[in-house]
Amino acid sequence: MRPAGLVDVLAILMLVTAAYCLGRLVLAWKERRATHLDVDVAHVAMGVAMAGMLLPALRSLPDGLWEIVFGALALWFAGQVVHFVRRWGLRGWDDDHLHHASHYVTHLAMVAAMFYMFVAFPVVGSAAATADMASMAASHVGTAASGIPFVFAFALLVSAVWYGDGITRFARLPAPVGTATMSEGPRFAVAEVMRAQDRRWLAPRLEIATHITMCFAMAYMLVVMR
Amino acid sequence: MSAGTVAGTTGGRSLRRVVPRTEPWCLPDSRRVLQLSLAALWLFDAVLQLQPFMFTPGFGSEMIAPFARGNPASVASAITWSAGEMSRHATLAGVAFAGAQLLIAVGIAWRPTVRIALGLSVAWSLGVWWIGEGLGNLLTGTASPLTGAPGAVLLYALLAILLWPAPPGGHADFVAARPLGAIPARLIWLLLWSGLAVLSVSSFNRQPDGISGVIRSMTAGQPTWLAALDRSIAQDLAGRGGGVAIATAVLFGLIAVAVFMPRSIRRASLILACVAAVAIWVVGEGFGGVFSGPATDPNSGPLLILLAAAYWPLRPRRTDLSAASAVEMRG
Repeated sequence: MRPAGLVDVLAILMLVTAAYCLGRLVLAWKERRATHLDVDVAHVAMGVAMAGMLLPALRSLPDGLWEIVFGALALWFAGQVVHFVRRWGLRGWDDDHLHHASHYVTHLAMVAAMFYMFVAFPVVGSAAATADMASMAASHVGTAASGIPFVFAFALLVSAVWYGDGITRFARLPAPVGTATMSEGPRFAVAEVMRAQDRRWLAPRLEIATHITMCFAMAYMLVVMR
Repeated sequence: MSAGTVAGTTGGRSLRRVVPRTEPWCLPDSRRVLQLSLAALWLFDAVLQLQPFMFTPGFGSEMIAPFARGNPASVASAITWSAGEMSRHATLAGVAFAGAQLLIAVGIAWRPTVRIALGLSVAWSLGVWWIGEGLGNLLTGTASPLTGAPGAVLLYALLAILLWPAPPGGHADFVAARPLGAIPARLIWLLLWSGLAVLSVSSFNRQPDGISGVIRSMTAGQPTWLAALDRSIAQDLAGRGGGVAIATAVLFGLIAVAVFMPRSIRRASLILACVAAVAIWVVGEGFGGVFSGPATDPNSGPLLILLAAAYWPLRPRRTDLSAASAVEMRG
């Protein structure tokens, strides 16, 4: 027995999220706004793949192909982590005060979790499978590796919470009246620079919302499939 | 929108302008990081609550109802009634439990609703402590710090209070001191860890094979490496329950009183508290049983670590240091 409709709802939510991220890519290109190209591409892939894992009817790619997709994405984000740390250090921020090494680490963890799910639970990811993932629950209980899904799940949930905290950064605050913002000292000055930089980005709060949704759905799948 | 007046000076010319009272977004400070850690644990609980088993009558009959056993009739009757209702309306109960935990997690993570969510978490935790944990078995005589006493969910409530947002501008020696003040916060720590010390030497925990039996019972369904570790420790502790109980009580007692000591001793005792919490979590609680089957939370281990972090001495602010050096210079 499983929660009525929960898996169906999550599958639909994943498809909607994937479609939205695809839309972001098009809109950002048309309107020349900033977006995370690699993150949006990864979200599209994860949304479609997770929908297929949740409901067998929605499986799209042949066996083995998702492993290649997520393996390649994992290599890409691992490279980004290395590149960022070399340039800005482990605790540093990039020029627009928006990205920290954790940005790439988070997305690396997400695609690695997807890769792990396809490798560790091949029956669920198989195009020939007819059962959904909830009915295969607890297949790894009692094995040496049964803790791994929880490590991924908890990391994803921490990331969801962390991003949730950052969502108010992009709230539309009314601009201060007057021009003497710099006289308020470095704190206000940095805040103003951050706000100016943040405005370049396409719908950042919705991007964060898609990230949180993905993390939550993936954590749920990892816990249920373990 | 409410607005505050801010005065500034540029080149000798006084400026007066009106800015919104809303503070610019800033990176999370120590307290916010701990609040977010608490939110992550609530979110993890919500995900665990969405496991298929939680939507079956077994959630009420197998997970809730057993907590009535050994409790006084006044406590047990409410547990039995609730368990029965949860079994009858299994899906509704599952949705309510998962929904409440999700709401608390999201509320803490989103800055504008932190206070509401922390308040809700206190109310929810106290309710679940009674109905879902049988008051941590404190009244049954079988409570053990090794298995999560005084109840993980009570620690959620405690953390919500200690991490309550305090008015800006104040500074305290440690995060937990900000909402209540240093002395009440220290008394809470003293009460918690001395309580754990007392529970450690209860007659139940002093039985020669009591502790080893508890650890051995955790092996079923665990990952092979954890089951092997548990079996080995249980074998080593067999017949030594009394000695282990007294040693544990002494350790917890030291951790309890060290909160009133100077910073260096406090730091050492907080590290010790974290080590004890990890030992409890891994050996006694088997990571809350999350690996071995349906579990509703990761139990008390991570919460004890979070509590210790809330008592970690903070670095004095630069202004405090300047004031101190000015006093020294005057002296």
